Amino acid sequence: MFADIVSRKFKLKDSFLLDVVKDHGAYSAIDRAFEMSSNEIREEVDRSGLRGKGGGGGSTGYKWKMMPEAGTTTTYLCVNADESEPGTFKDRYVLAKDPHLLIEGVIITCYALGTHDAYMYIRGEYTYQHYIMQRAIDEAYEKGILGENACGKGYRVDFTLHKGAGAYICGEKTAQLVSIEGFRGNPRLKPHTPEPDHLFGEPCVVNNVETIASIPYIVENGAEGYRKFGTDCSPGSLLFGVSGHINKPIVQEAEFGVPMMKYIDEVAGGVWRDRKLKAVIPGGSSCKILTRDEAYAVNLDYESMREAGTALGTGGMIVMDETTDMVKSLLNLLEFYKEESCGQCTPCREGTGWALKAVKRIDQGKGTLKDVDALLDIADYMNGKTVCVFAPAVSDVIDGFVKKFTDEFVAKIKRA
Amino acid sequence: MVDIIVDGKRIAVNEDGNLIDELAKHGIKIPHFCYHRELGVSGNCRMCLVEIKGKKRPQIACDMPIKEGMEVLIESKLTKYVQQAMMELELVNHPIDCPVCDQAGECSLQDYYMDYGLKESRIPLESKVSKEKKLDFGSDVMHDQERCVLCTRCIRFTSEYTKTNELGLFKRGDESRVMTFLDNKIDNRYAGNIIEICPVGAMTSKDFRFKQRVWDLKESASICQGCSRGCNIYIDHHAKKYDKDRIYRFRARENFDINGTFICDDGRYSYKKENQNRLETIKIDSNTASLDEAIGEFEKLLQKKSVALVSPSLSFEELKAIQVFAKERGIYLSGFSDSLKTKDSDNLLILGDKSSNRASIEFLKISQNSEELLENLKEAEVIINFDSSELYENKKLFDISKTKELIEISSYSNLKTNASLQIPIASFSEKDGTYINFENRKQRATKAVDTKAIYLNDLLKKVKGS
Repeated sequence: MFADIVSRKFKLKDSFLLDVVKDHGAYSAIDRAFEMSSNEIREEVDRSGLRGKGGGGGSTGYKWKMMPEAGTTTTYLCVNADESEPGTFKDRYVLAKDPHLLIEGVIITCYALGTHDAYMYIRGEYTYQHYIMQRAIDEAYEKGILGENACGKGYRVDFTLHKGAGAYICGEKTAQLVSIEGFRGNPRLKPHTPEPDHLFGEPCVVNNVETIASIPYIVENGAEGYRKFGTDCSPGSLLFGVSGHINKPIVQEAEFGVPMMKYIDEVAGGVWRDRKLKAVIPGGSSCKILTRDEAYAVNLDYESMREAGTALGTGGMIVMDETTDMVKSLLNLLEFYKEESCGQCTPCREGTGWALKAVKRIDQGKGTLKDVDALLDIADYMNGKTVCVFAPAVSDVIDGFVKKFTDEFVAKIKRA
Repeated sequence: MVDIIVDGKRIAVNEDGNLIDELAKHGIKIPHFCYHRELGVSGNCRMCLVEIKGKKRPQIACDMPIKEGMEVLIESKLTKYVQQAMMELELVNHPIDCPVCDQAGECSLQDYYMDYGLKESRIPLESKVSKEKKLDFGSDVMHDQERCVLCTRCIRFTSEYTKTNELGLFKRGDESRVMTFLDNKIDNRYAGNIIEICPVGAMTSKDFRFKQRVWDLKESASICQGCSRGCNIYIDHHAKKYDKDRIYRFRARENFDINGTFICDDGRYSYKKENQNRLETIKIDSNTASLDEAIGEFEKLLQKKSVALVSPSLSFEELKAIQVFAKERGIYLSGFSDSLKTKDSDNLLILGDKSSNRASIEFLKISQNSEELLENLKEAEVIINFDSSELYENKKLFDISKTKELIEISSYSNLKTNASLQIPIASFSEKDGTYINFENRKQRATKAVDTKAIYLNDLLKKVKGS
């Protein structure tokens, strides 16, 4: 059930110091990586079945293979550390506990992609993590791990930290690239054919922190080593986190395919105060909510979640006990989404605000049944009609809450 | 060219073109706010979503690559549903103050609501986001943030066309708004286009505000007289009850060979010249006279040795008639007008030569040599000035003219004039005419407003006849 692909060194004291982690195998994958060719690493990662750990779960190998042959053109790597999803707090552990694992991953990824310049877009509010990360990067430059001759392999790798200014939408990869370029972080239109993302007009790969942190393990242990964990379609592991009405809020790496309730009960100590479970939002807040019955039926892997009509997302579960007011919960979430919508495209800009006001009316007892219909319409207006996936995510949230807990919404209206 | 199928009908379109433009060529309208042919695809308004066969979701037409055999379903249930949905969303925070909005009548939001919306509002009035209603953006631009649909055309205009970057998007979500940076104002010579490309009433012209409802205006296709570019314009005019025909504004007319869809502010606001400072009365030695008296006086003055000065902004037909007239009468004709040749130009539309028809002067081989003109002036007793400003701009010429008798045949009044005879003629907005621009492009301007003044060609005919 448990895995330690990324979290192996988390328990060490002062694990963010190079001297500490050096004795525990930090940078041990570098030698192995530079024995391979860049294409061999891409192939290995592809065979490992590594899926992006930022929420989407797309194939990392596929993304890498889309990049041009190493050395043919300037390329960039961007590490997405703009973790701002409500209920998600896994990347911050990697950043704060094992920054050198990340640097190791970045060096290998750069080599595999033929990239010399890597950026990390770190969430503005992560000041502590930013401090640790910057210190680790400085240390790595000092020791020659990064720089003109990274790890003495004759390959230049420069790694730059870029601090966000507090916009959730900059976690969306195209918005992030626009932001790094120095503009307002609005997502770009998506291409109609599969092609790599672009930064400063050159091909670029955007990978999540945890994805990059998984690379050294794959290089060291091979694709088979990684596939030992997880299921066939969702191999490997993820730093799952549980928050909410729970006895022991926790982040613990586990392999894919573990039954959700088993994880919640055994790792997170079950629902607090001996209350009954009401609902779980599985992967960060931007997924469809699961009712108690549904929560007992799903496993923590991409396929099982999709079958249940929701998504695994970032693996940050939000647990709600029986006393939870679902209208207020939705109100809380919508306040976040309304605040964070970039306002670029109409459905999202107007839909988030409209939905929030409708839910607010219902919560205050001023709502009508028409507001419930309007909510479902708004959810549909926002689904699949926008530039990025922010609006569809909000759509899922509204749709899940309103459809699965209609009674509570209607009850509030009736009571008024 | 490839074939695509639109609602079961096969049409041939250019595969490199934009779907919205290509369909427009076939008379098929796709509603849109943010897409603009010269400002490119932004893809933020989502109004142009259409169903494409084989695609799971509706696609924005502005960003849809055209492929052979592609099936676009414009009349489909899904497309109609999405269009109605987008209309409803656009109006969530719109103040719907059409009765006091200048854009009413030429507003995309209004038109699309009638075509695609027609849904009862579900938004309580008090829950609308309120923003600034009256922001002076500088230049001629007045901004109303509440009416704005955030299509960012204005922002893209300043960043992509003028490259002056005065406007930006501020705040997020439904609080987003277009603003200038700090206290900066719009400062470019094309700012009027911002008002024109705004699909709704968010950008209004301080000059045009509250003056005229647009559905009363009649438009006439014309050519701007501001410089030798020859930008295509519409003249919007209207005769109020018991009032004469008046021009209210110039608008850019699309011509991708010349000005694209924009015109400069100098040209845009040159309409004022057509309404003000016009030469209106026939005068002989400062006394009002009738046309017949004036023609008699003209004939009398022509007995003396004359030199004619012609403006390079008269139409080709007029220039030709003057040339014939001068030849018959043995009058030396000069098109000299160096004061109009300035260094005031940029790499967009504005050209240094402020005459609209110099190419015609060159084509008709009318002399523009100053020395030749001065030589001829020595012996002359009478100067006939056909609308040329050169006489008043050029000090040397003006001094000489004071010693001669002056016949002023002009559309615009000049305070400096000491003419023995002045006859007002129709200006460019009051007549049909042909103009040749700096790259020898022949263009036709049509008559917009009625005038009491005589047409130059008629005047010359009358003089000939008597």
